[in-house]
Amino acid sequence: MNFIKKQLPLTVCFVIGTLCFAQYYVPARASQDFLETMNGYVLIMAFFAYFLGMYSIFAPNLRKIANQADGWGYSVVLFLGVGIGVATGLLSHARQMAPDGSLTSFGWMYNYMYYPLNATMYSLLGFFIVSTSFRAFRVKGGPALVLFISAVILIFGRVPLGQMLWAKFFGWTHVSVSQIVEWVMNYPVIAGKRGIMIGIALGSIAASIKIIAGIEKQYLGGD
Amino acid sequence: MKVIDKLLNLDRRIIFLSVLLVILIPIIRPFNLAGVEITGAVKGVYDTIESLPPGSAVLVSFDYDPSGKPDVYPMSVAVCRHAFRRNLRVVGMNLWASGTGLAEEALRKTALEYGREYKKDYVYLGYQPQAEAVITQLGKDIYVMYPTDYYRNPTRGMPVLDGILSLRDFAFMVDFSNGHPGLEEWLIYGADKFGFKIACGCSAVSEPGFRPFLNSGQIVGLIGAMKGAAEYERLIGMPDKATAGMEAVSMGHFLILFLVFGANALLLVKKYF
Repeated sequence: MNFIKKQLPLTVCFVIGTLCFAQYYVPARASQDFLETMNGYVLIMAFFAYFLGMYSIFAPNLRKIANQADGWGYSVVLFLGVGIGVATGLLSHARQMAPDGSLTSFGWMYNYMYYPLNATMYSLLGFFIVSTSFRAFRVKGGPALVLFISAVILIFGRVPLGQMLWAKFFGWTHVSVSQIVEWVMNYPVIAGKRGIMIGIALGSIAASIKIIAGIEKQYLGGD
Repeated sequence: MKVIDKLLNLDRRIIFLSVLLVILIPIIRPFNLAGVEITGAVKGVYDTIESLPPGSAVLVSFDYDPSGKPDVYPMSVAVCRHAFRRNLRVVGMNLWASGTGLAEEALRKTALEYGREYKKDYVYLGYQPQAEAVITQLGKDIYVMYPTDYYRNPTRGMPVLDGILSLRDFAFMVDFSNGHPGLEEWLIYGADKFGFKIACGCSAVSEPGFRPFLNSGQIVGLIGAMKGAAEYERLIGMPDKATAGMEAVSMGHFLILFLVFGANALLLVKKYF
C-alpha cells in the first residue's frame, strides 16, 4: 500500500516534472510530441477536476438541505441556479447567440443575470474603497506622505479633470501631469514591481524543485 | 471639537450616497471635458496595428469577464474596430470561460460595423480550459487545440486562417487581460518561447504589474484601464463608452482625494487647535 500511496506518485511526479522541465529547452520533434501528449493529459485532468469541484460544492450543500441547517434555502437556490444554467446551456448548445444574432436562453441568462450580478459585486468594491480611504488613510509619517503625494499625482494625471486643473494652475512649468505619471509608473513602480516579481519567481522555482524532488509531499494528503 | 469628531465618524451611508451621486451626475449630464492626453504606452499598440499590411492576421485573446467590462471591454472594441478598419484578419479566443459572451459580442458588433464576413475576415475560436496547455499547444498547431470554432465550424480550410499554423504565424497579438490567466501566461508560455509580437490591454489594478513587461520590450504597448481605452478611442477618432466614462471616473477620483484630504485636515485641526 505504501508503494501505491507514496512511492508511485512521487516517482510519477519526479519523472514527469523533470521531463516537462527539460522539454522547455529541447526544440526536437520528440520533445514537441511529448508536450502535445502532456497537454492532452492536462485537459483530461482539468475535466475530472470540474467533477471534483462539483462534488465539493454539492455534497455539503446537499447535507445542509437534508439536515435543514441554517441557511439551507440558499443551498436550494444554488441547486436551482446550477440546474437552470446547465439546462439552458444544453438547450442552447452552449451558445449565447443564435446564428441570426438573437440571444439564446443561455445568452439571456448570461446577459441579464450573470453579467449584472458579477458587475455589481465588483463595483461594490468602489464604494468600500472610498469609505475605507476616508477612515483609514492617515498621513502620520514620511512614508504615508510619499504615498499620499503619489496618489494625488496619479489621480491628477489619469483623469481629464485632473489634467485640466494641472494645466490651469501648473501650466507655467511646461511639464504635463501625464509626463510625471509616466515617470512614476516607469521608474519607482517598475522598480518595486520587479523586486516583487523576482521574489515570487524564486519562490516558485524553490517550491517546484521541492515538489519534483519529493521533499514537499503535502499534495499526497496527510502530514 | 464635537463637530470634527462627528465629521470624522461620518456615517458611511452618506459616503456611499456621495459616491453614487458623483458617478451618476456626469453620466446623466456630461460636462464635455477635454479628451485625455495620449501616452506612449497606448500609442505603441496603435502604431503597431497601423504598421501592419492589410490582410495580416491578428490574434485577440479576450481574457476577462463581466467584472472587468468597464475597463477592458471598451478597449477591446476600439482595437477590433481599428483592426477591421485596417482590413486585418481578426482571430478571437479566450482563456476565461465566463468571458465568452463578451468576446463574441465585441467581435460580432465591430465586424458588423465594417461589413466584415465571418470565417473570411474574422473568426471566434471560443474558450479552452487550462491556459498554459492551450498556449503551448497553440505555439505548435492551433488546429489541434481548436479543430472547430465557437460555432462548431471546422477551422481547417477557413479563409481567415489561411497561412496560419501556429502562434508564430500571427503578425500581432493583443491580449485583453483582467488577471490570471492573462498576459503573464501569454508571455511565459507564448511570446517569450515562440517569439511573436504582443501587446496588452488591462484593468487599472493590473496595469502597474504589467509595466515591467513594457519597459523590458516584452510587450510593444499597454492600454491601461478606462483611461487607456479613452486614449485609444481618441487615436482612432471614435469616442465611445470609455471617453464617456472618464468623466464619472474623474469625479470619483476627486471625491476620494477630497475625502482623504478633508479627513487629514480635520485631524490636524483637532491636534493643533
